[in-house]
Amino acid sequence: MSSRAIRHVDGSAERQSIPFYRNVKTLALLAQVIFVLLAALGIWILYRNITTGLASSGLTFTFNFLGSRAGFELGETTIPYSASDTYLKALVVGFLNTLKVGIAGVILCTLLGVMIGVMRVSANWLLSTFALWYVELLRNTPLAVQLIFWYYAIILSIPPRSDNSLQLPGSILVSQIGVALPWVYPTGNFGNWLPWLVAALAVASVAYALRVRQLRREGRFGNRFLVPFIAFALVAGVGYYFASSGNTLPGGTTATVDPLTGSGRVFVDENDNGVRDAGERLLSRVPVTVRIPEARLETISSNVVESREAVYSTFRFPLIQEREFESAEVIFRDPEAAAGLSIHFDSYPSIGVIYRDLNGNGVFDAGEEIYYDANGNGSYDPGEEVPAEGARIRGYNGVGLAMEINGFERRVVSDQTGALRLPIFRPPPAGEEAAAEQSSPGGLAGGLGGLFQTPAQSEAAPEVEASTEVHVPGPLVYSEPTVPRSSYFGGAQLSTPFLALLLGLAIYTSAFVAEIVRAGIQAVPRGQSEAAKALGLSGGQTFRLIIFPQALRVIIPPMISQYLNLTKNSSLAVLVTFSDFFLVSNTVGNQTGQFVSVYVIILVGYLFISLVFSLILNVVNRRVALVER
Amino acid sequence: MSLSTNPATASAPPVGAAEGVNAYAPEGGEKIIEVHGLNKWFGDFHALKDINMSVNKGEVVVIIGPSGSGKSTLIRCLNRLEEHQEGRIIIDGTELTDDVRNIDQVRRETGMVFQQFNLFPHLTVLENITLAPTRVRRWRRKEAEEKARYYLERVGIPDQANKYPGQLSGGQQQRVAIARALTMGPKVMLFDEPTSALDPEVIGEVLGVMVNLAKSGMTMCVVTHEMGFAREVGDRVIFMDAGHLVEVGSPEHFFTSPREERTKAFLSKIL
Amino acid sequence: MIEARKPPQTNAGAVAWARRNLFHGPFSSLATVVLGGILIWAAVSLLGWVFGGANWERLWVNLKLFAVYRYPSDLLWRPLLAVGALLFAFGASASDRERAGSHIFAGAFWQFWALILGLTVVSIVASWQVTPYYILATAMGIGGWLLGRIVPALARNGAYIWIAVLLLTPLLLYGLPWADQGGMRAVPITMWGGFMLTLVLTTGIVPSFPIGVLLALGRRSDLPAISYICTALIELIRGAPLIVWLFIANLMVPFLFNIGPDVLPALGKAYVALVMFSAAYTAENVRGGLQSVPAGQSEAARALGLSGWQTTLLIVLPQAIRAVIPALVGQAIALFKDTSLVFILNLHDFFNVHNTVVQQPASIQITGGIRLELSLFLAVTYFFFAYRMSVASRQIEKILGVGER
Repeated sequence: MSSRAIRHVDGSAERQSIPFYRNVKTLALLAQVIFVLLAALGIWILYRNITTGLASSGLTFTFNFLGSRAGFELGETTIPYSASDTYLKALVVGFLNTLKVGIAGVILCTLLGVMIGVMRVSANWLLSTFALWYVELLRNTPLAVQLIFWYYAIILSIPPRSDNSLQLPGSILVSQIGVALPWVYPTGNFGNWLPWLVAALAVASVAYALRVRQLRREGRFGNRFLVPFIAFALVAGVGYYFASSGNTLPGGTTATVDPLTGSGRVFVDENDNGVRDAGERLLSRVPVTVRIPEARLETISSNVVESREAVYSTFRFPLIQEREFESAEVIFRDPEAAAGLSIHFDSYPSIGVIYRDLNGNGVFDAGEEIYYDANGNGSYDPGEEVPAEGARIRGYNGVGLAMEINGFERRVVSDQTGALRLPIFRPPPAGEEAAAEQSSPGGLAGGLGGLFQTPAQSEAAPEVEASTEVHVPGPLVYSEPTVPRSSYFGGAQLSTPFLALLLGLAIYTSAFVAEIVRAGIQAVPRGQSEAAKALGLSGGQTFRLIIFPQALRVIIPPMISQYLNLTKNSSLAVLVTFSDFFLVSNTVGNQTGQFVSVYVIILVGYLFISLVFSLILNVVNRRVALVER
Repeated sequence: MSLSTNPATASAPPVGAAEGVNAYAPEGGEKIIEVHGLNKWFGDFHALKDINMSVNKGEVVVIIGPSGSGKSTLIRCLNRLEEHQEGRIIIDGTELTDDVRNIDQVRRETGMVFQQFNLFPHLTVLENITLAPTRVRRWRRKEAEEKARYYLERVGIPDQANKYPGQLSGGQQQRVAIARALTMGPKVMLFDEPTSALDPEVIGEVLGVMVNLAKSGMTMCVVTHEMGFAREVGDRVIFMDAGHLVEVGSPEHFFTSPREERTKAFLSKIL
Repeated sequence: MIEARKPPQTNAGAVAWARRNLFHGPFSSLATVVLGGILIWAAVSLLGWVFGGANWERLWVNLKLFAVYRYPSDLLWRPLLAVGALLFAFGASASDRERAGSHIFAGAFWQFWALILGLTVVSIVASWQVTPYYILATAMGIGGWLLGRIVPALARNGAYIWIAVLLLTPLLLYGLPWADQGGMRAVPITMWGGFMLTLVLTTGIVPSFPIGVLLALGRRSDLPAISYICTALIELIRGAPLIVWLFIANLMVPFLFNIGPDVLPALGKAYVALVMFSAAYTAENVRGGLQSVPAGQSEAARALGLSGWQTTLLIVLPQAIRAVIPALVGQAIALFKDTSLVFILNLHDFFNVHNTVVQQPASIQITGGIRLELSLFLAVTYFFFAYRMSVASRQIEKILGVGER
């Protein structure tokens, strides 16, 4: 035996003579080479099949089409986009839409999920049981089904048209067109305020650092954010006041409005002719007060099926708030055609109903709005209020109505393109032949909120008198949503598809987030809360200072992958026709036939999002690891 | 625990003084482990520095040293759980090279016992023991089971054959691990801190099995802090520090007159 | 010596329970009242709508579409027979009391059997043409269970029954490829749809499992080239949403196999996409399991002389997979839910059938549409199956936890 060992020790030549098929190193290398070759072969076959396949259908792999005109509109745009823009721009808009719904969804699902997750570990039986079933129901149902459910649950429970919007407190309008809320936009004067904002930020940072140092020196817990926040608000607020004194508008800024078309614009009237000529600059985000002393709005009634049981004949005027006029009255345009009918119009801006006062009590009672179309002509004829056997239920269709309105005054803010939109006004009946007066030009900016008196459009609107008053905007301008016609103007607008998608994604993901939060809280050893209680901390303090910070370390990493899932799941937007990245890419593919290029774009887009999320995850993991050390 | 001094080891002369001493076995024995000029790096960290040692058949070598000194790495190199970069390792006449056949051969002839037992939790005790004989040695199941039961008997737990490792105490698990290694019929047994993960009251039962094994003539390399064991059955003790073999000698030498300052410092801490 | 006494009974009765669990403290009481109020309001309005406002007639007349879509009406006995065969195999293996976790099988079996029994009763009451086959399927289920009880050997070798049934099922659903007449005539898979198609697509979890395991092993490989390629593939697939892959599969799968765009039906394309997508996620689950197996396990195996493949197959993989069984069941649930996305390929699975029903002239006439009703029906059905699977997953988890101890 020992001789054999010595032979090996001495026979160093034998070392080189290991056959390659027994050498671990060469075997490892060989395996990798074979694997790489197989992978390359697979990719090559795929590549060859694609190129021959494309060639046979007369296509080449190119991205040149991205520069051509897209030719389709998008329902939802975060940046200005129209059908005449390029495919590339359409894709960018889609990508931004995906990010928009992703970010909003992440915030919403975190709020919901943390709430449900904390409920899940509550000692209250009702709360924990509810949270349990919330999670189970949502986790075990496909997101596609949930999206359809939310979309139609929303659609069916809100008014179909924007001029009949639900009005929620805070000037929020809700209809199937979407939700419009008041919003604050930066204006051309925002630059005046910017230095103050920077200063405020700097002051807040310093305050934060001082506060943290103070707390550490005193060795106590305390709110680190309150003092810096107050400092920030103070400096920014004072700055806003001082910055406003420097607010200006370009000289010759003019607003014109044509009440007959309901449109207007704000521009720099360089030649002072009161009309926007080609090349004159349009101004966005400028507040304008429009005054129309006397005019009328017109409409006709139409049947709107409000539910499966009831058919009403309703009419709507463009949404006008009660504070926007001195007096208004709704009348029949042709009282003879509407003989025997009455108008029920509660308050501005609500929808009105035409009814027949069957019991003669002078007020609208349930059922009086329904009539029976006996001769089947589709509209109301006298006598049809009596139910006829087998007749279909109809409304009092096609009756002309008018709202006589005096002293209309509305503050609107020009949009991104410098346009203004108002309802379409008709001339008052008495003043139809009277020429419209024009307010005299002149007036100078005088101190804060100075105003320009500018002439209304000179030739276009002889019949309806309108005047505009341009206000000098502050650094920020407050814009309330209005409903000039069938869509919103002003404020911030969220479409119904967006809301349905957001709601569906957030609720679905919140179930997963809740489970993560529950698991995180339960992962903190029981001894931790026992120790905290033994030290005399209250239940709330124990949770806030001991349990939650520790749970957070377990919670955050899986939470980030849920955020990524939410963003990827937003591709189901196609079900609610929200123009996200996938839907736009799909459309581009269908229009151009360049599917392979489109696939590459889609994959790069989503991989980019995934990459960003995994970078965030890595940073977070590293920080968590540091904290634990 | 009372362990008597083994008279056979008392005569072994103390060897080595300076850094990088040799730990060659006494001449005349049949060398079963030979290590020449062994060097091992983990990245840039030089874990084993110029190790020269050999072990005779039937010898029990105990390796001691502070944690991080490289003693576990050394023993793991002996069956190529760690790959060495320089030097030569020859086990029972087979050199550990990149040759797959040699590696398999060496692993078949050496048994290893780990600090964390490393029993397979998804297999019963019997399956744990018979897995390698049936798959590697290609024994018939019945044959393997008979052998397994024999060694379970020898380590003193014949009635636990059909339990899962999770149902056994730490001491029982480590004895199963020893039985598992023995069933393969190894020529050398390597022990990597076999008692470090055990509760104090069960260390004795595992050491008892190891003492019996040593007395039956098995060649053993043992990394341990159990000086009682070293004194009772150890033929030679090797002290390692910072990747070097610092001092080699009989247990008697170590416990009465260690030469190196580092050895003295270490022994004063653990004794 | 002091005798052991029973504790004093202080916390008994409904009032005490409510005080302890619903009204302990002002915040809890407030939460109970507010949430309770909301829940009662929601339940009342939901029930009021389900039994009052909702229109279920369109659903009722289209049940066949939801079940099998355009599968020929005179051949409906074939899917029902397949259901019966599956219930038979299920019952036979559920009746084995010896096997660990048989109560999981039994619980699931009885619930599915009760579902089919319920449908049978409905079928008898509504006197559908296929009633006899519903009765047959119900009988086959209970028959399998009884047979398993009488002949335990049958139950113990349930795997063979399953294999036989799983071979029989495609034959029943597709028929004889060469026959174009008679009871066993071929039904092209372009005519498949409804819940049947959803289940067919869900079987994609089976091929996705070995692929996923291979990808996971590749990603964990010591050899960098293999590891990089597998990682890249996994991350590429996971990087984009499933709906994108289904969309891509429409054109790319024919390219992959170098066949014309119309040779492979949409079902085949969807299946490839679902399998690969599921495999990538399975790979990540299995990788998690592989990481949970301590390094000492494979070292011990190598020290015993087992080869690399033996170590992986006998020691590491069994432990890794056991550790991730709940995650794998979760993956199956996810796939079951995700099959609803095949609408992008114009396949009419259970979910997409509702679009067909909504577009029927009789449905269009209904004011407000019937999407809400249909989506509620879809949700309830998906929930029944997915929830049943997640319950089984939790039971398995419990058993495994006991085994490991």
